[in-house]
Amino acid sequence: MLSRSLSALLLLSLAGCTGGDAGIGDSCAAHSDCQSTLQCVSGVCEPKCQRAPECGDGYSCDRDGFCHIATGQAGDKCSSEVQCAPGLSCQIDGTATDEDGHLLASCTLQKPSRPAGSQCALDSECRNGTCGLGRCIDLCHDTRDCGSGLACMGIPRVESDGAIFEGCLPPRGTVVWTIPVTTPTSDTILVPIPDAARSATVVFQVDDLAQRVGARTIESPSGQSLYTKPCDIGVCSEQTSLDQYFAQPLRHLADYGQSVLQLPTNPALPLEPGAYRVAVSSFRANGIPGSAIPRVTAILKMDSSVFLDLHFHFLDLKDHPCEQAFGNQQLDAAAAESAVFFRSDYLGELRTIFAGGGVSLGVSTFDDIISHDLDGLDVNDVGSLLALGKHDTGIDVFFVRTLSPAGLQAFGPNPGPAGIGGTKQSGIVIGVDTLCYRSWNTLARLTAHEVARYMGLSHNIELEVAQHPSWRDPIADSDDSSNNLMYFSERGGTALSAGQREILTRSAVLR
Amino acid sequence: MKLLAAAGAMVVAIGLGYAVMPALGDALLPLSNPQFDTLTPIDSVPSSQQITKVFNNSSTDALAGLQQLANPPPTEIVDRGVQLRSVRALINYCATSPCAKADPAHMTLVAIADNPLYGEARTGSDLLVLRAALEALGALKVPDDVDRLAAQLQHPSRDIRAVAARALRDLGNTQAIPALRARYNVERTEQVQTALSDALRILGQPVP
Repeated sequence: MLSRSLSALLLLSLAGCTGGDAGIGDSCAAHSDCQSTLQCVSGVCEPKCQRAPECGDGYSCDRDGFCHIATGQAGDKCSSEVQCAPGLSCQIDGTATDEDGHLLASCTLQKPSRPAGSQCALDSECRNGTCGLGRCIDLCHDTRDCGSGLACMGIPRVESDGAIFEGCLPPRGTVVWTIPVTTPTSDTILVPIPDAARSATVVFQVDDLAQRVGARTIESPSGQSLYTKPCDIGVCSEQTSLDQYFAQPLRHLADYGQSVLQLPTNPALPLEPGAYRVAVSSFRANGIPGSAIPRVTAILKMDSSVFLDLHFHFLDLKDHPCEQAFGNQQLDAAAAESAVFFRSDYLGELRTIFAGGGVSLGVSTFDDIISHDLDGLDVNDVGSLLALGKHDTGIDVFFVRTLSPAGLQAFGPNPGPAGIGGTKQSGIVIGVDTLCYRSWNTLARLTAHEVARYMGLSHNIELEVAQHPSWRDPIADSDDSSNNLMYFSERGGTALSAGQREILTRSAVLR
Repeated sequence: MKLLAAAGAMVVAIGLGYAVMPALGDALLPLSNPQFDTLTPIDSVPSSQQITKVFNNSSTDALAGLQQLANPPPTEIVDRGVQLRSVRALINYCATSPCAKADPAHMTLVAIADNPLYGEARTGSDLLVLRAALEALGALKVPDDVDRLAAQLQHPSRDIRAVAARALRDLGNTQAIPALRARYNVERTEQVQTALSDALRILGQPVP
């Protein structure tokens, strides 16, 4: 034992001998004068760097943790912010690209405006001259060139028709920004997908709830046509319209006031880095072009986190006819948070179901909502309730007394606006009256089904699949079994295929 | 004529996780898998085409089947989820529009609303059946139903009073106004107050 301790001490002493003795703030002439964790900068020992911004404007940080002043002068070619001398930024020249297809850039005088990471709509609003995905982005060659919490990745540049540059973006969480649209029906927007993104959600909105909004066409970065809006019922039969909907490589439906596009919804059609081209439009009820100018919000999920937060909201359930199922007491936030039937039978079952989908239940929150006009909810009013779902991460789950029409047990968007709260589709609704004739376990399955639809899964088959073989989900390995979680009826089970798990775990609701 | 699956066929309701299990000896009306699936979608309401398809592709058979499922004889039990959807689905099977008072679909809904089993229920799933029937009666817009629906404005359950107000709104018969106004003046539950004032507004008598 003693000899082992002595050996360890000797090793530590030897390690200390690789640097000098000077500590932080001491004067130095060379790196070797400073302790091994320090470097000599401008004659003073300072901590070694991990990221270039720690060294200051116009410096890079090498693999060994030493800062180097940049030598790039105005007009010199560059590929990273750290190559340009203090006072200069590495700015994209235009649309010209190098042999690898990357946009060319050169050192240019910094603009007197916002620093990297600030919100922006135009390049001119950024000190470094590059605005993308709604924020000022530093060009980079390596993650060491980026500030803390950012990573260097390939980013398509909208202004250059989707050509790629390397820039600093957060590698975790979500990136959310708005994409400008200027006309009701004529705009084709580019949705840039960085190479590190896991999934993308695009939310289309118009203020006039009597008009529909959504995509007319969608084309992948590689030029594949993914979607053409199905013909409107009235122009063609309902069956033809549905046939066209189910035949799309990518499914999407324009809807009143708001609609959502999710990428990917099928593992066989993975998210492509590059710029998706989306023709955006508002539509009248009969399908003719609308007059409302769409608003478009894009959300990227950047990491592979799999925690699903559920935010439970309780409307007034006092004197509910099914209160026997909740211990003959009023079911509200406080009761649910502590009750065994909720914690064990309901949340426990949800946890088990989602574990089978590769998703872990994260935080659960509980609150009461006073909005008596929504206690017994007509599904036509569901937007008013879901707009109360304010959480950007996780899913808002609303428990209402009853759902009309009678027999409807749950309702939610498919897919939902993952990553943004406060919209008319931000959450799912569960009718508590189901508990008069079903158990909490069964209610958990209904909830999981609806949550999974919010996260981008479709029914594995539709009721009419025998007559219409294409009316099934696009995922190749999800069979027609009633054991599947996405089976449309109460007879369904909780199984999920590998392909379904793949889509679930990419949802931007996860953190 | 076989409307439902043969007795002894798979009783698909088993394993659904009943809150209250049927008693031993009770006869559970058998349904085929397609029938059960059609009548238990989670997040949609089955269309008349979908229902007719699973009842021998015959709207006559579908109506007869739904009548049996919506208002079963006392000796037979229907899965409650199936029953609720069947009650609602009856609105699609009136022979005329607007629905005639003597139409079988309407008469079945009236029979449910007048059935003491449901009408005198104060809690539990029987109350849900009454609620579904009242909602469906409102959708059928048979003018003579105004008194039947107005009477339910006095029901002890706030959910029944609220659905009765909405059904009177949907019925569109201005004869409901006095009953709606009278109830509004004494109603203390905001959920019901909202439904009453909404009905009065739609019927042209907004509450100040």
